[in-house]
Amino acid sequence: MSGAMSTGALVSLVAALIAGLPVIATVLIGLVSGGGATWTHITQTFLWTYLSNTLQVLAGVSVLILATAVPAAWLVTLHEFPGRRLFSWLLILPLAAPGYVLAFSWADLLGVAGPVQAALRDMTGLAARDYWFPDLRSPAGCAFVLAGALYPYVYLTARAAFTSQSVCTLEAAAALGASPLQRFLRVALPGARPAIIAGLALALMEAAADFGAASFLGVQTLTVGVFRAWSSFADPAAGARLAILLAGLMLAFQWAERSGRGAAGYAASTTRWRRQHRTALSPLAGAAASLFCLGIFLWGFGLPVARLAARALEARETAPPMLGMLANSLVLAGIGALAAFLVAVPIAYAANLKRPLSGLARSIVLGGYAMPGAMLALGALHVLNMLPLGASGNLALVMLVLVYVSRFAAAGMSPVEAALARAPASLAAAARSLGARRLRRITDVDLPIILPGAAAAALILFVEILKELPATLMLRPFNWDTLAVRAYSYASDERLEAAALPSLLITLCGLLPVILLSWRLSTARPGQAAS
Amino acid sequence: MSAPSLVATGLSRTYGRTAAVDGVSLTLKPGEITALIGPSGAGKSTLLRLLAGLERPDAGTLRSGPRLLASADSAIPTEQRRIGLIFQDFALFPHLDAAENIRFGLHDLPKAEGRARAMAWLERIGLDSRAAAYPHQLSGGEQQRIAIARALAPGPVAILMDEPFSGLDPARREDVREMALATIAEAGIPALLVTHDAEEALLHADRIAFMQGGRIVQAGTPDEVYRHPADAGTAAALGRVNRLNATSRETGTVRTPFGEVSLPASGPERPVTVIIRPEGILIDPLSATRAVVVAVRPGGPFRHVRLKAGAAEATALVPAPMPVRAGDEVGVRLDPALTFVFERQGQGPA
Repeated sequence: MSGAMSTGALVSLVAALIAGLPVIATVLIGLVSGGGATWTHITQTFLWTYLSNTLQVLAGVSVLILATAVPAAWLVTLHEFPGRRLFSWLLILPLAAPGYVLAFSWADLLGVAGPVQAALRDMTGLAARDYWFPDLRSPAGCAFVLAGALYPYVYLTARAAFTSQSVCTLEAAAALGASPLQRFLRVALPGARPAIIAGLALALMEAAADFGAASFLGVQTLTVGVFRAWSSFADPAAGARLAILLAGLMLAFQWAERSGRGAAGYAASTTRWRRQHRTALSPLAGAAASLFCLGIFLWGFGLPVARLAARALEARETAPPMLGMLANSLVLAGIGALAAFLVAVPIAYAANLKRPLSGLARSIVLGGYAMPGAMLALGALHVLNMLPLGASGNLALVMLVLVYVSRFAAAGMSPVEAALARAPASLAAAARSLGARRLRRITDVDLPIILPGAAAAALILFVEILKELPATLMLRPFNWDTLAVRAYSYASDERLEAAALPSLLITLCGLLPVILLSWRLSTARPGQAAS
Repeated sequence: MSAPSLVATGLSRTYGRTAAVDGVSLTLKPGEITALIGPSGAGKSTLLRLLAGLERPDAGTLRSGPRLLASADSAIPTEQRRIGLIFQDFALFPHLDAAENIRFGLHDLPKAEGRARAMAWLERIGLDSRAAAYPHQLSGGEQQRIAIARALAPGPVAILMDEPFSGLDPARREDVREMALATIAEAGIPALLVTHDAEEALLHADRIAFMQGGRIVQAGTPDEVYRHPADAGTAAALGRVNRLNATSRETGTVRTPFGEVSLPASGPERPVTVIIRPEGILIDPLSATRAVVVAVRPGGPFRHVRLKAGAAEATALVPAPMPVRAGDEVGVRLDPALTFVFERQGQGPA
C-alpha cells in the first residue's frame, strides 16, 4: 500500500518537474547570467516604457471589461428582454478567437484604408489628413482589442455568481424597499465581487501574457520586451529578467484569482436552489438591453470575425497554400495536447486522493499556467543552447512540446479535477466494500468518472496549443510554420488578406471548446453544481 | 441460517497523540440493529471505518465469528471483508444505472445471473421500473434504497450505515427509514447505524451504544439506556433534559425546587447534578411543592410547560388535556424513574 502511494507521488512529482523545467531555466538565466550591457541598455531605455505600456493596457482592459461584462451578466441572468437566450451564449464566443486575430481584424477595420474611415470620408467629404481618428496602434487601442477578446472571463464568473446568489436575498432587499438599481449596487454586486475579481484577474493574466496583439499593434509591453530581448538584442538573460518581473505580476493576478474564487465559493454556497425569476424589462429598456448586448458581441466577435471571413473570401483565388501549415498545426497541437494530458491527469488524480507531494506537484503546474509563453520559450531555448547538440530541428520541437506542457497542463487538469470533485468522496470506499480490488476500482470506477472531464481536457488542450503564438514563434524549427505563426507573419507584413484564412481556421477550432462550455453551462443543474 | 456476530475487542486508533477510538469493545449481533450515537468528534466515524477496514487498528481485534478481520498486526482489506457500507451521500456510482449499481458487487457471477439478481433486488425494493435510471435521475429516497440493495446484494456478513438518513427530505424520511431498516433486519446480519438523531436511535435500534471521547460509555437496549443512563452526558444525548445542581443529604435524598428524590444509598453530603427528563416532572395538585407556570406551548399530544420554582426553571411535558395556563401556580413532583442523580465532577450514579 505504501509502495503504491509513493509510486503515485513519484509519477506526479516527475510530471510536475517536467512542467516546471522551462520556468526554472528562465529564472536561472535571469538570476545567474544576467546583468550585461544589454540589461543596462534595456533598463535605461525601455524598462519604463515596457512597464508603463503594460500597466496602461491592463488598466484599459479592466475598465472596459468591468463596464461591459458585469452589466451584461446582470441583464442576462436576472432580466427578460428580446434575444436574451441568444445573447446568453453569443457573449461567450470571443473565447474562441485569440487576441492577435482580433487585433489583425480590428486594425484592418479601423485602418485608414478600412471601411470605417472610408465611410467617414464619404459622409463628410474630408480627406484622410483632415480629421482625427482614434489610433488602434496605442496602449488604449490594444486594451480595446484585448478587452473584447477577454471580457467573457468576467462575464462567465459574474453570471455564475448572479445565478447562484440566493434569490431570497434580492427579494429580501426588495421587501426592505430597495429599488432595482439599489438591489444591483448594494446586494447583487457586493455578493458577486469575489467572483468578478477572480474573472478579472484571469483576464488580466491573459492580457499581460499577450504577445501577438501587443506586438502587432506596436505596443511595447513587458511580454513584447521579453521577445525583443531575445530576437532584437540576442540577450536571453535580459529577456529572462524582464520575464521574472512579468512572472511576478502574473503570480499576483493568479493569487488574486484563487483567493477571489475561494471567497466566491462561500458566497455561492446556498443550500436551496430556486429557479431564478427574471424581471421583464419594459419595451424601451428591453431594446436598450438588446442593443447593449449586441454591441458587446459585435465588438468581441461579430465584426472582426465577419471582416476576416469577408477578406478570406476576397482572397480565395490568391491565397497561399495552407495544407502544410495546417498539418504542422494539427500534429504539433495533437502531440502537445497528448503530452500535457499525460502530465495533467496523474497529478489531478493524485491530488484528488491527497497523495503526499501531490499538492506541490499541482502548485508547480498551476504556476506554469501563469507564465507567459514567451518566458517559457526563453527558458527552453536556454536549455537547448546548453545541450551539446545545439538547437537542431527535432530537439527544438521536443522543447516546444515541453513548453506547451508547462504552459497548459493546468488547463487540462481542471476539467479532470472537476469531474473527480463531482463524484462523491465515498465512492472508493463503497467500491472496496463491494469487493472491488485496486485494478477493478481504477477500470470500473475511476476511469469512467474521469472520462468526460478527460475528453474536455484533451479538447481544451488541443485548441489552446493550436492558438499559442509566442513560444511557437520562438522555438519552431526553420520552415515549420503553423497556422498561428503564419497568420502573425502575414499580418505583420500588412498582408491581411493572406492572414485572414489561417486566422479564421484558428477561430473555428477555438469554437469547439466554447460550444462544449456553453452546452455544459446550459445543461448544468445548479442544485448539483455545488456538491 | 445464522450469521456470525461482529465482535470488536479493545479496538484503538490513534492519530498523532489523540486517540480517536480508545479501547472500544462492542458486539454486533446478527439480526440486530445497533445504533451508535454520541457528539461530533466522539470517534463514531473512525470506529465505523475500523470495522469496515478503511482504517487499521493500532490495538485490539475485530472478528466476524471465528474469522479474524483485523488486529494491530494484520488486517483483511475492505474488499475481502464482505461488509456492506451505506453512506450519507449514498455513494452511488454516477456512471452506472440503478441495476448496474446493484450488480457492481456481484462481479463474480456470470453477467446474466448478476443481472437477474439485481433485478430481483430492484423488485424487492419496489424500484423495478427504475432499473435503467442513473443516480442523478433518482430521488433521494430512491437513491437510498438502491444503496441498500447494492450493499445487501452480495450477501455481506455485516452492514454499517453512516448517517444514512440525514440526507433525506424530512417529509419522506420516516417512510424511507421504515422500509430500509426492515429490509436490513430481514437480512439477519449484524447492523450498525451511526446517527446523531436520538429519536432515530430510540425508535429503530435494538441496541444503543453511546460513544464519547473515543470510548463507549454505555451500551444497552434503548429502554435501558434511556431509563438508566450511565452519566449526565448519556442522559442528555437521548433527548432534552432539565439539568439542576443540588446537594445530596445524609438521609439519602436530594431535594430540588421541583421535588425530592431518594438515592439508592445514604452517604455523606456532596454536590450532585440532577437530570430530569421533561416527562419526569409531574403536575400534581396534591403536592406541597409549588411552581409557577411561565409559558405553555402546544406540542401535539403533549404540551411543553415552562415552570419556575424559586430561581430554578425547568420544562415539563404535560398531557394535553391537563388545563394549565401561564401564571397558574401548580403543585409538582418528580417521577423517580425519569430523574437521575450524578455526583458532580464524578462519574457514575451517586
